[in-house]
Amino acid sequence: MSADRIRDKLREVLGVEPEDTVSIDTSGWDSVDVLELIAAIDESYDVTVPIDRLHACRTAGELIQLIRSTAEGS
Amino acid sequence: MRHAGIRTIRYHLPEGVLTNEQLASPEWPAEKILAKTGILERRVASAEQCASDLGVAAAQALFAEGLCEPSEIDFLLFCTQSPDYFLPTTACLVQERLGLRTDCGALDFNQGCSGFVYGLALAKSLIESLGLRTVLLITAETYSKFIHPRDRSARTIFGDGAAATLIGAAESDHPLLGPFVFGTDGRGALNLMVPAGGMRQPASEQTARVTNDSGGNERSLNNLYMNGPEIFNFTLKTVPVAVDALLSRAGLERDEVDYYVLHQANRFMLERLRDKMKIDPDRFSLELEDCGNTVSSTIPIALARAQNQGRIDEGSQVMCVGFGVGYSWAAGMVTLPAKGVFS
Repeated sequence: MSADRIRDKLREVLGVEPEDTVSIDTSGWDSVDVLELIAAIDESYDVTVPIDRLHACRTAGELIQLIRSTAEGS
Repeated sequence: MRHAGIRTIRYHLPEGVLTNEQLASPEWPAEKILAKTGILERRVASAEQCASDLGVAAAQALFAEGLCEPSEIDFLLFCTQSPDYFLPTTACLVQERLGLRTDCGALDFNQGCSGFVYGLALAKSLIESLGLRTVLLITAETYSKFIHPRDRSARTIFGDGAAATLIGAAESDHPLLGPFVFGTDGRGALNLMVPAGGMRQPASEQTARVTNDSGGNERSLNNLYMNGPEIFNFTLKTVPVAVDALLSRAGLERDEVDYYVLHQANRFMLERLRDKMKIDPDRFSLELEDCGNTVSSTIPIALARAQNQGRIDEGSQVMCVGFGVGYSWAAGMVTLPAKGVFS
C-alpha cells in the first residue's frame, strides 16, 4: 500500500508538492476532485474514509495519517 | 418446471434534451462534463409530462411488438419516486390508459436506483408463488422535476425516462430470474433526498427559499439534494460485497457471469467499481452517454441495448445490480430465456 496516488491527487488540486505540512481544505474542493480523491484512497488502501473526517484534515500529513490509520483498523 | 423470465424490454425517453453545452461553464466546459460523467446529453420531461406518460409510452412500444396483448397482463408493478399524484396510485391510472383488465392487480412501489431489481424479484414471486402468468414491470422517473434549474451537479447526472419489462411464466429446467440479494441502510437516507414536500415537512414559503452550496449550486428544501462523496463511499463499500454475496448464492465464479449490468449512476463511479471488482470491461455495461442516470430505468435500458447490440443472447447469465437512494440495493441474476419457452 502506498500514498503515491493520493499525493498525486493532492498535487493536482493544490498545484504544489504535497509535503506533510502543506495545508489542505477538501471541503472547498470541486466535487469531482473529492470523488477522485476517494477513488485514489480506495485504490491505494482498499478503505473508505468518512467524508466529515476527510474534510476535517488540515494538512496533507493529517490526511495521509487518517487514511493509514483507517486501513490499519479495518 | 415453471419459472418466471424476462420476455422483452422496451423503453421511452422524452423528447426534451439537455446537452453538455447547455450546462457548461468556464470552470466546467462541455468536454470536461463528458470526461468526468460519461454523459453527453440527458432527456428531460416537459412540464406536462409525468412518470405515467413516460411509462405508458414504454408499455405501448412493448405491446406494439406483438408479443403480448394488454388483456394478458395479470399484474402491473409501477416503480417511481415521482408519482403523478400522492393518491391515487399511479399504477391505477396506467391500468386505465393501457386498457388492462379490471381484474388485473396494480400497485406502485417507491424505489429508486434499486427499483428494477426489486421489481424483478416481486414479479418472480407473483408468477412462481401465486401462479400468475404475465407481469408488466414499469420503471418511470422524472427526477428533473425535483432538481433546481441552477443545481448544475444534479442536472448534469440525472435524466428522465421509463422502461417496460414483460415478465412471463416459462417452461425451463432452471430458474431464469434469481437468486437475489437485497440490502437497506437508512443511515444514508439524508444523502439523496427531497427534504420538503412530503408529509414530514410540507412545502412552504420557507422551504422554497433557495441557498447556495459550496460549489455554487442552488437549491431549496423542495429540490433534490445529493451528497456525491458520501454516496460514492457507500457504493465502494457495498456493491462489491453484494456482488460477492450473489456470486456465492448462485454458485458462480466472477468470470462465469457473461455480463454485468450495474445501475448507470455515472461513468467515473462505474469504472472504479469495475476495476475494483476486476471485471472484464467487455463484460461490463456502460450505457449512459445519451440518457444520463434514469434512476430505476438504467438497468432495463442497458439490458435492452446489450441484447440489441448482441452483447447478450439466449442463455446469457447477466448480473443486475441496483444501488443508491435510501440507501437501498439489490442484485439479481437474469438468464435470458430461449425463444418458445413462454406459454
